[in-house]
Amino acid sequence: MFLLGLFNKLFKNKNNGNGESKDVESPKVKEDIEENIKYIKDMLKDSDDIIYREFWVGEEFQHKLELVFVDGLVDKGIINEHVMHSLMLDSRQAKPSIDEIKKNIYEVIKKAAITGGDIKEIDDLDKCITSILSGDTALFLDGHPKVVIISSKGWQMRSVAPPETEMVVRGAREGFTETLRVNTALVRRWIRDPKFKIKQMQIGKRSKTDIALLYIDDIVNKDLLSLIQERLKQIDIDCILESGYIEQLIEEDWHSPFPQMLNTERPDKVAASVLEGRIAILIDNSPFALIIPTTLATLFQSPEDYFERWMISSLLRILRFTAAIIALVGPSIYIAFTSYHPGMIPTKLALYIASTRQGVPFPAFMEALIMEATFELLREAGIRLPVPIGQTIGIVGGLIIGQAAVMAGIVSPLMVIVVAVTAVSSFSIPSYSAAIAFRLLRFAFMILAAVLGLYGIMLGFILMLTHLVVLKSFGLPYLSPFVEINLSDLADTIIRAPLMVFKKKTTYT
Amino acid sequence: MIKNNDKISENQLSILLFTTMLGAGVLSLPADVAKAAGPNGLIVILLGGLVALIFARVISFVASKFPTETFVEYSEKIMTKPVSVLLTVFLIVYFLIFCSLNLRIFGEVAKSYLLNSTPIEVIMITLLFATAYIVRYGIEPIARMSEILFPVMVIPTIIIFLPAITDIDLSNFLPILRISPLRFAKGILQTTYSFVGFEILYVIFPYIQLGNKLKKSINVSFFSIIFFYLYITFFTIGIFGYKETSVQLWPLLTVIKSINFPGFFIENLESLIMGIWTFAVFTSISVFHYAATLSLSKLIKAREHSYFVIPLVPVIYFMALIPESIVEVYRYASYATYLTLFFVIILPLLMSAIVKLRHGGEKQ
Repeated sequence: MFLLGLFNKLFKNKNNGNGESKDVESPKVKEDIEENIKYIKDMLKDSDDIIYREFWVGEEFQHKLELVFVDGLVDKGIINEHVMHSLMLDSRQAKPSIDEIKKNIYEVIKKAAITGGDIKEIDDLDKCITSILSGDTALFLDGHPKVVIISSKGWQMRSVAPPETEMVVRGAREGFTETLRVNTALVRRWIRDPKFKIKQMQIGKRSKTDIALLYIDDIVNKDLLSLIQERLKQIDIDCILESGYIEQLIEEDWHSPFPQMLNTERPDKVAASVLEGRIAILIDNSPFALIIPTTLATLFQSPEDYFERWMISSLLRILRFTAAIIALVGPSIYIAFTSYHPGMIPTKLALYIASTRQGVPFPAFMEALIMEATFELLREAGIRLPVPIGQTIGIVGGLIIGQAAVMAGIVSPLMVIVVAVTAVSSFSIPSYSAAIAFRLLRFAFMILAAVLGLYGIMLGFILMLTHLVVLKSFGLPYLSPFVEINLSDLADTIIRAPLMVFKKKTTYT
Repeated sequence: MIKNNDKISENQLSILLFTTMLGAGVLSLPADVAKAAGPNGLIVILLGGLVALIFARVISFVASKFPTETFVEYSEKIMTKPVSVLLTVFLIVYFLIFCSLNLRIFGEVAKSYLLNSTPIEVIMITLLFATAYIVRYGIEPIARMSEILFPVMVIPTIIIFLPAITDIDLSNFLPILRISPLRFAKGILQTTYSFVGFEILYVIFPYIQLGNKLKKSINVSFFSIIFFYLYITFFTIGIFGYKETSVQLWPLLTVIKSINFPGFFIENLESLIMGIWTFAVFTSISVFHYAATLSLSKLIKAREHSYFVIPLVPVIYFMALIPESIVEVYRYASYATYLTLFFVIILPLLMSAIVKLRHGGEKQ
């Protein structure tokens, strides 16, 4: 332990050293337009999708302007109508006298000539390039050491569609898309509170991915917020491809099979979490939002729980927790009972199991392992295949292989039932990340049951619970509110109490 | 945000004490009290529990005078350094003894009820390593574990007995109090063994967030464990009668075997009880293991208690293997009761007397 700490220390120092030496001053925008354009062209050499459009305005076309943008990332309509048209035609009707324009074309353009909605000015050429590459249009003016950045993002994008992994019967049908701005708007539409903040930053040395932190200023825990910002800033990576990158780079314990952040495609879920004082992270190019902090109990919640009547919702919650336990120990209970404790099941059932297992050449563990592995294989194949074929695989796998395996005497019919029930159970956990954690642990439990029977399963539970009680999601115990019990928090865990009980939702449950 | 401050709340202390006291002893408790006091077992449990509660309060009185110190440090202030070191060594041995006793009894029961052909060594060593895993992380996870397991242990146990309510013969508890006072007192002392575990109050005070509910939480934990024991013993003696109860090794398992739960899938409910009881033993062992580790690290003045977790594993393991048979285990357990007598009754009284006298002296 001590040595490890020392290594960590050395390692960290080294990292810091690297970080400091990398600061290079980025060039400022020059007065001469040709110099600026040359720099940009140099930097963006061999990028044929960049369009440079130069044009002249003024009575005698004495002012040279140049637009730089990326073809395909910008909305041509904005550029044509609100930039070029305004500058070249409409501005001729503008009031200021020619003298005035001569003196300060920059001010005039900025104040009156561009009818585009969102403009800003910068004087840093590297920032300018980043803006161009993210879909904005840069307007260079001859003789002025500033660039006007016109927001003109507009590209082909998927429209808002129902969330595919988190369907509900009752509730909004909107799911996130791959565009950050659309996603933030989707959440904003749920919360019209001035205290609701959307704070953006860029991560990734090369990808410069936009990510947004969503929170409500007067509910959120400030320590948590600064902790997350701190960790996000420490990320040192070239590219963020998916929210999963962020999740794995800022999570507390990378040894854990359990997700320490909730990911969701649903804006309503994000809105509800933010209203509870959590922080959501939206990542550009990913339809998944991350919610921090997360506890085990939240992984079992579905937005629908709050839309239906509380008794039904409570029943469904209990069902899901039961399903999780079945998904975890279903096959291992079968292994333990058939190979170690046949005396504990009703005699008739025990005799029946024994009779069906008579021709099976494998021990129960191998039997379970074969079936579980087959099932996992089918599931994996089903995901890869196109939707219509995927369904066929399901039928072929589930019905035919199961039936054939039983008839061939490789597995007992009860085993097929156990595997099927386990599979169905694992699908009823609302969070996919949690479900795969349980899938993984199921195999560990099977091994324990094969070696130590029922005691092995208990031991497995002890080890898993030990891991879970130690685990924290950004300072919040992963098992809260079951630990450090506060009775009122338990109202929204295994059961879902009537809505009147939660007067003001500020606790993480 | 709840910080990782390695401290437990007073509510958590309450549950922690409960789960620590509820250990391997519960299986044989009805037989112990039936042997000691016949039909008056329930009264013995009640009084034994109250006696234990009183001394738990005495220990917490002494310890609360030094809320930032463990026994290792404050015993030095109360008595002298040599005495303190000696007592600490004994205290560590005491924790280790109960840790290994629990472990051994667990191994024996698990072997005879669950895993007939598995060597007891395997059962013991696996549980011990599971314990070491949690003990390394300190008191906070142990307390959280207790919180999680508390309802898992208590609720099913209470429900399991309910169908047997018609089988109870109340005449099994008669005659009341026709017993010699000496035997009665002895019985009370013996039941104190079932409450072993609250001695952790000697060492865990620096790890409690002290508020004003300390006394209440100790009381709550004792009353709930007394109620729990009474409930179990009431059903066991009520169904079997004290004579039959007293000749059995683990009457609790036998009585559960006889209960027929209507419409339930599992025929023999003792598998369920075995599972629950695994949790109960685990929490007890982990607390004793933690207490021993903590005291040892304080004695040596080490910075982290976690260094001593693994070294103590073989010690506990071999101590657990010393008794030749299960009969001998219970003989050793009855010897350990003398140590209990010292640590639970004599030492707290002695220390509180010294503290009181010294404080009185300071005031004058």
